[in-house]
Amino acid sequence: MKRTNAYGLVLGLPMLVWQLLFFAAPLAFLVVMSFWLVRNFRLAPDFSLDNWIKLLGAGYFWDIYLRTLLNGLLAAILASVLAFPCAYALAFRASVSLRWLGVFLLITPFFTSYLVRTYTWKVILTGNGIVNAALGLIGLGPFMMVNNIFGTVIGYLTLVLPLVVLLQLFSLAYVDRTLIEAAHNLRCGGLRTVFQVVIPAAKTGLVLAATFAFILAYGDYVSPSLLGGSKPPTLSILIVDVVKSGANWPQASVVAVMMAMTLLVVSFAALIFAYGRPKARA
Amino acid sequence: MNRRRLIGLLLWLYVGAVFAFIFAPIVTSFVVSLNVDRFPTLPLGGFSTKWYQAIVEDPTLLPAMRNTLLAGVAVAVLSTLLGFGAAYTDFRYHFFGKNVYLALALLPPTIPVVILGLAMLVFLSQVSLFGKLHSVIISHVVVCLPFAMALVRLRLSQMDPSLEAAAWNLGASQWRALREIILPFTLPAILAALFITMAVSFDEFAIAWFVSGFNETLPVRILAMFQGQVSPRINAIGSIVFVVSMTLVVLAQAILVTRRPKAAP
Amino acid sequence: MAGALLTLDKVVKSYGPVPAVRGIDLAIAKGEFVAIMGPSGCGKTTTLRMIAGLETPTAGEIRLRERRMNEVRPWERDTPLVWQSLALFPFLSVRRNVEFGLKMRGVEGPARRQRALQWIERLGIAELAERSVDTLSGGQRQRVALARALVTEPEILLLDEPMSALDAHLVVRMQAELIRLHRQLGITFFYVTHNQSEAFAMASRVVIMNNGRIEQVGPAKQVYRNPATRFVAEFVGTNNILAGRVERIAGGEAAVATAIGSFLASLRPGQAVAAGDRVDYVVGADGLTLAGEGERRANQLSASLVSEQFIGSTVTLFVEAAGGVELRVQQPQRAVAGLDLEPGRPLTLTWGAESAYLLAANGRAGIP
Repeated sequence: MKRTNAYGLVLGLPMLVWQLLFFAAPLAFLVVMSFWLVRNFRLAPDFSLDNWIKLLGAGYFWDIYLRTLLNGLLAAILASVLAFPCAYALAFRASVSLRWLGVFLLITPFFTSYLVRTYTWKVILTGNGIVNAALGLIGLGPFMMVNNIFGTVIGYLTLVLPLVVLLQLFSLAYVDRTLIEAAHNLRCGGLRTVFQVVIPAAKTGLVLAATFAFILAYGDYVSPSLLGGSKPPTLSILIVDVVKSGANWPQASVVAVMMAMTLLVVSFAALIFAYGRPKARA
Repeated sequence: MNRRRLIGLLLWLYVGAVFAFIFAPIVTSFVVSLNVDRFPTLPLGGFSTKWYQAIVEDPTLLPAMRNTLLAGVAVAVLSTLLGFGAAYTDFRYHFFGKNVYLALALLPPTIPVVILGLAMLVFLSQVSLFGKLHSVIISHVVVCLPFAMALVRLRLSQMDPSLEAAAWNLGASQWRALREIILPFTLPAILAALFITMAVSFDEFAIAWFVSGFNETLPVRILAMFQGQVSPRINAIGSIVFVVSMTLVVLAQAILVTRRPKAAP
Repeated sequence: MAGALLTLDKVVKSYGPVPAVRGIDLAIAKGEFVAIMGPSGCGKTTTLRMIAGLETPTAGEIRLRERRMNEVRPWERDTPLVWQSLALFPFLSVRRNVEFGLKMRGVEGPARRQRALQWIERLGIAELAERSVDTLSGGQRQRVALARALVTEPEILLLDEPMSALDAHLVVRMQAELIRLHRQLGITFFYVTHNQSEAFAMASRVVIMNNGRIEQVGPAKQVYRNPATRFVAEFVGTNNILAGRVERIAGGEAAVATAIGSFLASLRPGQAVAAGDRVDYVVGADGLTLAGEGERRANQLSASLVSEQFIGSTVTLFVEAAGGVELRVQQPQRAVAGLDLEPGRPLTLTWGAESAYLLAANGRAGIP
């Protein structure tokens, strides 16, 4: 029965209104804001390309832009590779209850404070922290593991690894088992089956997992600042700095819009890759 | 067989390593919060609850805690209401532009919080809704309602689509059918949504940092504390946040899994 | 039909450009057991849903006791449905499920409970009253669905393929149950199914639908014996249909030339065919018999056996005549007992002219 009436509108409209008002509008406004100027410490509505020219013409911006992009890719690839054997084991070698236990354990981190976890890593990994102390006991180190890219990567993994394992696990669990049996039946060995049968079959889910990892790492503020020492800085650090140090929101908006557009392009490309038809082999 | 066993063993060791990595900071945080030393190193110092005492007595933390709780409850209720409506609309109706409707409901988690936070900051200041607790509530609802919607929608997809029509057929108006049939059926998902959205709001710090101004929530307070020195108080707060969030999640899980239909009058 | 309980008057239902029901007229009297049959997508379920108010006709009118119902909402009608999936409310007990309709009509607690229990007992599931519905078997759930629908004592009961989820042996029991209920209650049953044997077992009148239109309406036996259109002849029973041309007509019989020979068929009263007409020659599989020695009827045909199929006490023989034309023969098992049924065995089929009839080539019976 499809008669729309007060009933349907009362139930369906509130979410629409709310999201248009408080989700779509702010984002659209951000784009508008990037064309405004700051005169005498006050916001002046305008349609100026000043901020865009200033920022996109600055060498340091592109350094940061590239660095952020590479960070995201690094996080996505590293997390995907590191997560895979774990997801594989849980999907193919674990009993159902063990798998559910794994899922529960993987969901747990989502409800801990990411802030506190990164802070804890900092405490663990600093010069005279637990890890270096332990390594010192066997005569190694001390290693510098924070305020550099190593620390940042540890932070990214803390952020995305549980999610990537979960997403990979779900897509691997849905791989048709008969495909694998058929491969074995045709004398395809274990590891080769993984690469030639399992991974292509789960391609969509694996690519989606990597994409999420990219999106999260790309936009993250905490890991590069807390564990990476803000050297080198990322786009998110740039935005936060601009906002903290004088509220030049138009400039921050330019950075945000650039980030958003990059993410759209990358996500779009990833979706096409994820859902595209596999090329038939000769 | 031996080779398979060996590979199996290596795989499980690897799984253990991954989980160890994931849980290392969580477990360590607990340990550090109960360690008497300000700075944890080997060998570990003795047991102490002084950090928990310190945060309980910290005057700046109490208002932040109160804000977080108030916001959490408001966010939970609003997100679940809006999310339920959206899920039901998706379940029952087909209309032009439905894809856009769904995108609005489900996209927020894919937008980096830094961008969302900035957008909220800029927008809310223009409409004078900035810097109060309701700015945090508004922003959090945007981010939390996708979870509520997804949970309720999932539950609705488990329902025999004829159930609602059967209720109409037996004399229930649309509102009555909603009350008598849909709500009882989706109750587990609604409760789960309440708990999970509260947990998400509880922990969300980035957007809150942008919009809360001086009405800071607890996570924002933690962020501020980072500017100071190393302090196990942070770990103590983290442990409390973890326990509260986990309790909410476990409650949600328990309700989802064990709820049985009424069998007695 | 004057004083009909339910009337469908030129009812059309289209979903956008796609027509599901293309204009049907039907009148159903109080107390009838009407079955609507047809292949998937023929519009029978859409018709049912329109009667219940779950769909609105695009054109035409539905009347319940002369009252126009098109705009009446489902919950304002009294047309309870027994659903294909049964649609029992999973979180309510049996009794509360049955009470639901009464609750919606504002019947008070104790009265509600009593009436519900009466019906639960009437359907033979009294001991299950407080049980949760997911613990019940298929047959038990069906009874709950019936009780729930009947507790409001409606004038018409709608049933949407309610047996499709039941095991075969339960279907027979439920059929008997439904017939018993119908006789006791004297209300109208409107039963949608794609299964012929159900329809013919229970219904007094049968409606055959195809592609959004009604092909034939009539008492079950009549539709079975006298299909009005080619579709009905193909859909109902097991009929052999041969294309042919009328050679001559004499004494109420027509001789028809087909690809495999010339055969006689009886003309039905008032049937207007002339020599030279293109017709379909139809003979039911149970009208064909295997000729013994010297046994000859009006029609005769040589064929060879391809295969046989035993279902219960009936056997269906698949035979092939000249030119690869396939025919089916249905006989009781004892008729073929003792015969050596190996593939390729030559058989002689024979049947009387009265076992065959003609349909005009456009599919209609040509009866004015």
